[in-house]
Amino acid sequence: MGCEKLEFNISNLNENNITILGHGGMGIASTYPMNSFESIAYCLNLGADGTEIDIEMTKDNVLVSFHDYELSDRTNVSGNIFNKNWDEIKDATYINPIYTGYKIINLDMLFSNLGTHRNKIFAFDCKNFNPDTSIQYRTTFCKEVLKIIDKYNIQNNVLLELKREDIIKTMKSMRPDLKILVYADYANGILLAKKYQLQGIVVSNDNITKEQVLAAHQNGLLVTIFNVHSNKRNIEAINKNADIIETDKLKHLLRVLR
Amino acid sequence: MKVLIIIFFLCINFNLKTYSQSKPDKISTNVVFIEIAGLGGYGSLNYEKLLARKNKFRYTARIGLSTYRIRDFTNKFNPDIILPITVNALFGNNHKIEIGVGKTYTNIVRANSFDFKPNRSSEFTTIFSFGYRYQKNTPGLLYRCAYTPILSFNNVLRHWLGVSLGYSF
Repeated sequence: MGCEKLEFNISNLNENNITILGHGGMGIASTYPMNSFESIAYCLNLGADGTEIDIEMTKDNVLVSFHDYELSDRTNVSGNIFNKNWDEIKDATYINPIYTGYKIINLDMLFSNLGTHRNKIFAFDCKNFNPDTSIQYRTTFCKEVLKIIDKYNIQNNVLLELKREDIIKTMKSMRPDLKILVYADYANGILLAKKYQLQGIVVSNDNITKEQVLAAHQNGLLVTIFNVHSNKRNIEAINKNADIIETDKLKHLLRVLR
Repeated sequence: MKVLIIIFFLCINFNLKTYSQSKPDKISTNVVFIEIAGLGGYGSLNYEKLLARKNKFRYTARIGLSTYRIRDFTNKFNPDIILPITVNALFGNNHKIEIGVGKTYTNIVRANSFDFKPNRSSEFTTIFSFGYRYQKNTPGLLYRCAYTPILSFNNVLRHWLGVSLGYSF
């Protein structure tokens, strides 16, 4: 375990810097559950540039920080968030680690208690597990996201990571000023980003090469790399010249880049 | 004369044997062991004391110490505390079956529901263990593995396991 400083020759669209975001806060292997207040707050208090947050919407249109399709995968409540009202899940606690009882949180509660950390960068990974493709659903979802953005004045430091093309289209028409990155495989990501004039793509570290990052940059597209859950993968993502890294090994990435 | 000499040496030999007795083995009454996973969550350091024994039965009390983190989410020193406490019944000679029941006391730092500042709260969680142990009654190494279900305060039954290595003295 050497302590030597690593030198990197970064060339990207982010002024040759790499924005360091936590993955749901402290990442998948942390003793804080991803997307819990504790995980996100710890990530920001350690000095990350910001964090990625997974977002789902309840039946009564409350935005919740949660990663999974099924609540029982991580909490003591079962079902899907999109089929529940907020009151039905507000007391849900994460089942891991044992004994800890960290609670699920909604986006409004999260941002109202982040204090000065609100100035940091937030990547909203919009899960949209709800199979509803109606105009009403799309419009409602986008409006709720925009309510949070405008209430907490984070227009300039939020990145919207969208998977569904219908949501991209709706959000782009409602707020063309916001930064949108498409969450897809490399080829489809480039196509959609060009089609809707988006700011960039979000791709797994396993599915993108250094050459592809360069090609994206040549198209004027930022590249966010996720699925970075080891020190080795942190270094890989840096060497690929990512603009943004969403890491599960935050402390290591802060050490090597700061 | 020769016969007398032989008889003399035989008597000495007999007497020497008569006076050489072995000391009784010391019974170990204390155990320290490290448990991986198990009742401490991800691991714990434990001390166990023999309370009583009869025939092949031993009755013990155990206390452990564990933590998940030393710093809280504001990055200040503020450790979590996890203390599993059980009473156990063991049966066997060197190879033992063990059954235990008890409570884990936890004092965990979470975000307060109102102002989201760090807030400690204490809970007691019911714990069990059913397992196998290799431990001689005299001082030495011990090994154990156990099924350690945990009935959490948030009404979740966790199926869990623990393996241990320790020393009795």
